[in-house]
Amino acid sequence: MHTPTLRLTAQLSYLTRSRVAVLRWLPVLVVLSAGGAIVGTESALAGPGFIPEGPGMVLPVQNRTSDAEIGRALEQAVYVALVFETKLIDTTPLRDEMRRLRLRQVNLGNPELLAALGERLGVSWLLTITLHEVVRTPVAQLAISAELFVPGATELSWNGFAAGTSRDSVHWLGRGLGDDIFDLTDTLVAELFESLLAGAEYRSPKLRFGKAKGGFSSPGEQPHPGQKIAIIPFDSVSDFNPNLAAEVVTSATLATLQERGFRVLFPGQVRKNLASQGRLLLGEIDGEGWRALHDQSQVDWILTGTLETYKEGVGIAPNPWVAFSARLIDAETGQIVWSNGLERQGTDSRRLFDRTRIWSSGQMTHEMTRSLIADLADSRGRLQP
Amino acid sequence: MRITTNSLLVLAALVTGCSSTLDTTSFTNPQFDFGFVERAAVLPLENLSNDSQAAQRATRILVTGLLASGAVDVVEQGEVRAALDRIPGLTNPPSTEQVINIGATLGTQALIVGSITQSEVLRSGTVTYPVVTIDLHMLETETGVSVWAATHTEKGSGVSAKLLGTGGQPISDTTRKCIRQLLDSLLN
Repeated sequence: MHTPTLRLTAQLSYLTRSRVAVLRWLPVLVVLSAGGAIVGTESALAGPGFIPEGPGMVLPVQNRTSDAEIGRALEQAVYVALVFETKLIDTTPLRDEMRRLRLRQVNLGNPELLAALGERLGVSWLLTITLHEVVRTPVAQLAISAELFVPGATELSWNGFAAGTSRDSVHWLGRGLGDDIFDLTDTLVAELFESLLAGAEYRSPKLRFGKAKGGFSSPGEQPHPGQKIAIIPFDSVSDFNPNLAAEVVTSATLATLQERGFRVLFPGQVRKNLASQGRLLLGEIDGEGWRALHDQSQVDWILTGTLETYKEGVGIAPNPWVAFSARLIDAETGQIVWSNGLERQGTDSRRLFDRTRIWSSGQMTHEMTRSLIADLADSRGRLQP
Repeated sequence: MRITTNSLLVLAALVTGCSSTLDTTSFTNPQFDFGFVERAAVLPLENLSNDSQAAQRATRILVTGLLASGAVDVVEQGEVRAALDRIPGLTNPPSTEQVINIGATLGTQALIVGSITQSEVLRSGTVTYPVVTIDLHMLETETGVSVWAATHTEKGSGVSAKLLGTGGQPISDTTRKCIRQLLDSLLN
């Protein structure tokens, strides 16, 4: 992550712009400046919310944008959010250990290799953070996601997605001030980790677009929440940043499925099961693939889809435009049992004085996945937890 | 009064003159009972345009459109790709024997094949707008004959783009509208 000195500087720069009382952070600064391997206070609680007991590690942010400054700000905000609640291990040995195990990307790694990594690092959990989108001006926009996993486990322990804009803090008729992008980063991190740290049961917020309509749903066996679901990453036919945009949709879908109570297969395990394919599957699966997922990981359902349009809004009144479709495949038969798609623009949800308007494509994607998964839940009867 | 009438005529010409769509050209075999088709597969569409993603885009959207119509079961695209990989010397479009072979492998009564003949963003003055032309055929898998064919061109230019010079629609949106028109001619 950083050397202790750099970390101290980072903390100080965070404190100077946050509204948090300085006194609260003094013990952390002392520990950081001492350069200890375990960073955090002695009174740090082990295992709050969904976080397993024992020390863990927050991996360096996977920055999909070219904005290194926001990447660093995000890293700091995550660190500050977790340092009092968990025991965090310094990331200094991570790179060497990954090289030793020939592990390229942790959240897509083979579960056995990750178990070995966890053992070598002495951690019981790993948290990856991805910075998907940054738009700085004139309306700041940000999209981030996080995945928590226990090394060696085949299912994700927790994952989340959050997106927002500086306009979100402006109330109707222009009351209130817009956040700057650093405040927005802190706000989104707090939002992202709320359920992780509290371990609270998911309470479905109101759907801005309502449940997706139309689509296809076959009669037949009804899945239920205890069953396991694997996601094949969405493919993209959008003309704007196709791969990165598809990753946003996949992350938002993972988070929404888990919010709804599904057991989601760890992406590294999906990749391991499909390794015999010899190529990366995106947006589709063949007979060998669904059989492998069903036989080797006891997956019941497979979800995948295609991103069709992803247009970021620009200017002082950004109007994002997103369209995608998803399919649910029975992992026992390979039959498509549900399919639906949505296309929305930011102004679709607009009410009087733009009160509920959506300003960023990340937020739009999150709302749309919630609408689609709500349709999946209802159309399949007992999917809802 | 004359000025007002003329203005209205000019406005109407502007709006309708750059009409968004052309009529769909379609053929349906009157001898064929479409109720017989319970399961269909969409073969990857051929790309005859300069837009490298056009075929993949249209194929995906076509599968979703067919599924959403609820008219037939559609084979998962990964299965289709695996079946095509197993056929030696596969031609595009497939020969009659290959159509029968693919149908038997996938357990489908029909295959949908086709091509993207145009997928580009055109410029007219300060206004840019996408144009997409797609040609689709449905082949019956017992005999390999074509039982339905249609071609449609869709222009993605809204009234605001024409009158105010604002940007047109994304090309994927135009592709989706084009496919919707084609499927309407198949299903209605």
